[in-house]
Amino acid sequence: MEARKNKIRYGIGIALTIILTIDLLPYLWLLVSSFRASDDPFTSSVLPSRYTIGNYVTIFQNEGMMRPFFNSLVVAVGATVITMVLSLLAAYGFSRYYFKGKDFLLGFLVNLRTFPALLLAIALYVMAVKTGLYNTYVPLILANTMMNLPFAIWNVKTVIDGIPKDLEESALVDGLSRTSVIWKIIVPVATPGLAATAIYVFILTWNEYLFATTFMNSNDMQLVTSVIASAVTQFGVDYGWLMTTAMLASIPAIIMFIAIQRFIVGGLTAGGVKG
Amino acid sequence: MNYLKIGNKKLNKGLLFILPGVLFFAVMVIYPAGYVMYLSFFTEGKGLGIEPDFVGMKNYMTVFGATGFWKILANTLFYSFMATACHIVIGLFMAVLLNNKFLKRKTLTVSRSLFLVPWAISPSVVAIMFQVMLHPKVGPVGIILRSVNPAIEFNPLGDPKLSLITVTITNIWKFTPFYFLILLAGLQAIDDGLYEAARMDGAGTWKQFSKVTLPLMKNYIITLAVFDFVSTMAYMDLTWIMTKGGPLNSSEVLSTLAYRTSFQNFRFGEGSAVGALIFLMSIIFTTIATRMMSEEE
Repeated sequence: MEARKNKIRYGIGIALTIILTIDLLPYLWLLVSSFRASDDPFTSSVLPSRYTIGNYVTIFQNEGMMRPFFNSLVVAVGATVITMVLSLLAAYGFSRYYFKGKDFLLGFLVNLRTFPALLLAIALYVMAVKTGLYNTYVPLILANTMMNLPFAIWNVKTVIDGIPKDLEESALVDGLSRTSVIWKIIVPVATPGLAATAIYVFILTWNEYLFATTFMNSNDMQLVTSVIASAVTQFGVDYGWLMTTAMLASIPAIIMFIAIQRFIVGGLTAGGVKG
Repeated sequence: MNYLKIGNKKLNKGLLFILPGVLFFAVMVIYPAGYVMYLSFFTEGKGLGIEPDFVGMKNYMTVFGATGFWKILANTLFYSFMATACHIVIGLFMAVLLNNKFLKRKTLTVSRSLFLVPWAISPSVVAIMFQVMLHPKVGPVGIILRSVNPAIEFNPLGDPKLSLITVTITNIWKFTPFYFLILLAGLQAIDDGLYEAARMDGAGTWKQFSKVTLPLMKNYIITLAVFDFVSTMAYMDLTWIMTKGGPLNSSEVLSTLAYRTSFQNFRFGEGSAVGALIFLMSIIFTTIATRMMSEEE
């Protein structure tokens, strides 16, 4: 019995190693390459001949290279704030009230996202140009809010469902309004779930590419994802800069993502929303 | 207390909380969705200041009649089918691997976290990472192959025979972790007692998987696969960044066609028609799959 158990353990260990290698090797190469000196050409070897943090220093000291990160941050923070406010209100309504057609409305809102983003991008682009909002943060913030709101409503509703109603009821008896109940009772109690949802929305917006490349074309308004995506051209590119920018764009997302994964699985399975 | 009186009509207060969200969706999803369908029946330039003409089905005819349309459709189905199949099969394998009692708690947590890394990376980072890795001159794969045999010319993204499959593999690398996570959640919901009972009856590992896990997970998996197939059909990020549909249209799919037609050629009418076609195909696939599931019950 013990021998059989060990055999199974070895089998699992080997399988895990293979999967993890495939999973992580490309990214590890990206990490290593970001420490490659600019006078050490990528054509000469797989690994750098020496390691330097020069690429990082250059980017942090160059305002033009930092600008896309700033733009991405503005859009991601904007989308996260609006998504959280709208989803907190809607989720509270769905969780605490009963009315005709509630389940239908909730199902409808959660499933709206299955309408392809690509199609919406065409219409939203025309709308942005017409309203003069093209090349501003506004359409990007709103479009990303739209993409993430269904998931956020569902996830926040699950969180609020888990909070006992007694707390609110006594507060309501004490004369607090519904909005202050949300702010003073729900938000403090639900902080972990809300934070996880907010971080998830932030990451997805930070990582988003389609809208970023569609709604902005002026140089100083580019988001980091579209700068990275359009970097490789036939005229050559500074690979050290590219690898380092790619690292800086992805490391925070990966760390935050691993931290919150436990909190979002429920919302993902129910809402079926893909990142 | 729960109702607001307007005239003699009672309005549920719960609706007031939901209203901002609903209005937002009306402006950002329902209106644009209708608008893009409407655009598909007009000449290009509609909405951008040029006087539109109603052309009926002409945009759709132009799209269907374009040279290479059927090839693009075949590419789309190949891409979506291969990606979906691999996401589910590999994802399920990874999930089953982590969902077993021999694993230490810590190994489980660490492996699950590391499995998710590709999904947490932005598609544009994933795309350029593979683009550079597979680059004929600077990519490590090419360098290694050349050190074995200098005559090898390794350029999968520049080869019409390999471009589509290369993008498909990149998609599988990036998105399998997502399906793994969802499938793992499904597996963990299965009652341990069922496996216990199966073991009592002498079922081995494979029997337990095929007689307990699969039947219980069947509808869950089908629903997930349909969602996957439909969203992959409409997904253009990786293909657009890595190949722009090339070389020679070899990796062009409907989503990149819709994007190119709209945003490079500014033919929004035709672009919308392609988009509408993707949406129509999604509805058909979803309906067929739902029928299949409900018939069997």
